[in-house]
Amino acid sequence: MRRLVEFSFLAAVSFTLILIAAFYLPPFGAHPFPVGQYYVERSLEEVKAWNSVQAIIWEYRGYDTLGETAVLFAAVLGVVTLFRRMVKSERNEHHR
Amino acid sequence: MRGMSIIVKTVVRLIAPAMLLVGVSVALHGHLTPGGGFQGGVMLGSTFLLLLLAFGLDFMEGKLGFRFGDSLRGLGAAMILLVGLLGLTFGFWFFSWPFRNEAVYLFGVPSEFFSSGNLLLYDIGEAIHVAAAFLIVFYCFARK
Repeated sequence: MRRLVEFSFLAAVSFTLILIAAFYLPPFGAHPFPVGQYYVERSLEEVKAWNSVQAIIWEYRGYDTLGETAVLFAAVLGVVTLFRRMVKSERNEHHR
Repeated sequence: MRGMSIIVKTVVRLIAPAMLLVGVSVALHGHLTPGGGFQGGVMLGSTFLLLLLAFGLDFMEGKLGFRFGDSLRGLGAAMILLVGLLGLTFGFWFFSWPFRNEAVYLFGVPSEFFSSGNLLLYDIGEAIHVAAAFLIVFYCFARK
């Protein structure tokens, strides 16, 4: 009985929250990210780059690309660290 | 790892310079045409893979050593970071381009090669980083 009460309470709360959120959705057919329109309109005059994809990934979202570069750096560092041991052991076997 | 037959070597000798050239072109024209530093770097890296498969590990390591590739990778990553830090000067913010006065440098007319500020420098750094990273990953895989 108690679980049923808890469940119905939680269900009512979540349904109310979803209902409230539904009224704040953007209208049907609207662009979900208005910033995309800003990039398309302004990137040529602000960054002076024809390729607006590059303008977005290096100028507007520079931190994101920096993190991506750091991820690639760390991944290759991991590969090198992992394989160096195998190469060393193989070399030792050859010397033996 | 040994190389392949003379047919493969001849074909690779023909097409590898074109692949390198296309990779460098894609990387350098990242702010004008589709592509960019990562895409050009991947093309350079795949050229290295082709050369590695065709000519063998010993030939490639004689031309481009593992240590050299590793330091080149660090150089490319450091170049991106340093160009980003350059944005901190003159009261601008990280990852921006402070030389916005067109008389000083870059940020010129769109569609010219020297335009759009720091994007060219970022693309060069990213291309070096990605090409060297793929090169040393292929070395690691080829050794074992």
